[in-house]
Amino acid sequence: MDQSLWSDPLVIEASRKFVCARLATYEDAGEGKFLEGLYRGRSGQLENTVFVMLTSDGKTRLSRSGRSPTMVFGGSVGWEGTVLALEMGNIAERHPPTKKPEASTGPALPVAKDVRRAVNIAACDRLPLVISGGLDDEQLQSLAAIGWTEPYIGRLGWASTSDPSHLKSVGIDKPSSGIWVVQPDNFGLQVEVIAKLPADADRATIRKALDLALETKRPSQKRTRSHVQQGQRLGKNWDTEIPVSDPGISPQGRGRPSRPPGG
Amino acid sequence: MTVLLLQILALRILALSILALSGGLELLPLEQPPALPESAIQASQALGVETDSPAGSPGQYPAGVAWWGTWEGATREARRSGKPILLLSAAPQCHGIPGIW
Repeated sequence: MDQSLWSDPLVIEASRKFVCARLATYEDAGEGKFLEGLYRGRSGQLENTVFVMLTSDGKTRLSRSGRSPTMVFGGSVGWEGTVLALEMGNIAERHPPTKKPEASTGPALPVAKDVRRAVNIAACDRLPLVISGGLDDEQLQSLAAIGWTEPYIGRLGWASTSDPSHLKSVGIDKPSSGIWVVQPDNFGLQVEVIAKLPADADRATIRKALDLALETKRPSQKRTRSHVQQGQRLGKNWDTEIPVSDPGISPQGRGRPSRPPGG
Repeated sequence: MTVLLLQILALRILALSILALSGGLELLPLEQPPALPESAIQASQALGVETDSPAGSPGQYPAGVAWWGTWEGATREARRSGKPILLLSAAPQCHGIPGIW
């Protein structure tokens, strides 16, 4: 995934007019089938990346589908972001929101599938992560209301669980109910706790903890080749849920499915 | 070549104009960023971690796209808001090594 495209200010601004879904390829069997239905390359297999724009019911395509925005919309080298923002603006103008959301219900937290994947994805994005453990609906809604305000939108990863073992598995000792603001390690397998808050922390306290993460941590520099080489040297591995089927990746480089296909 | 460059420039201006006219682009004055807390610089140096922010720049992360991580969550939000969906998928591992797209 070309991260530079998604950090283009024009693209970020245009993205606020959409619900932006970024699914983790090979990490969910059901989503894998759905993605295969949207786009298959020449191999006929699900490839590493898929891109398409859809109506709000998710049933009608508003663009061609492809491996990337550049494949769908084009754009000369260095101008891909401009072209994408332009196309997003055009589509948003032709397909404005079909309804006005009720003022009483805000968006939920944009959580990843589970804590393990949230830590990995936050490491990929090089962002701090907020993990809620055992929060009730009202507490989750309150946390979401903060997460959807500036300066937190798009600057933090989110995860939620009610299973203490999920917290332990990423290195959180003595898990209980509460909110953890954490920094993933370079390989997205374990976390460093920046702040731990009680489940009923007030908004000012939560904001203070999020500010601390954003002010004291910085995105690490990553280069694909050296990251992969270092990971191989250190024996870091990732188990996908379904087999990697991208024809551009050799079978040796596809990692391991965590369970048999279809299992 | 000149014609191509002019076309690219015109495209960029057109994109900026459309966003500005639709109220989607706000031009803000440049401000001097506050200095990165010393503790953060020391922590990064101690860990031997290279960062994309040069020393002395703020620890603030740049703005980003707010991604929904699951199709279920995204479609629930699309139903709630009526907004169209931008769908991307990417593998959070490279050659079986996590921590990189």
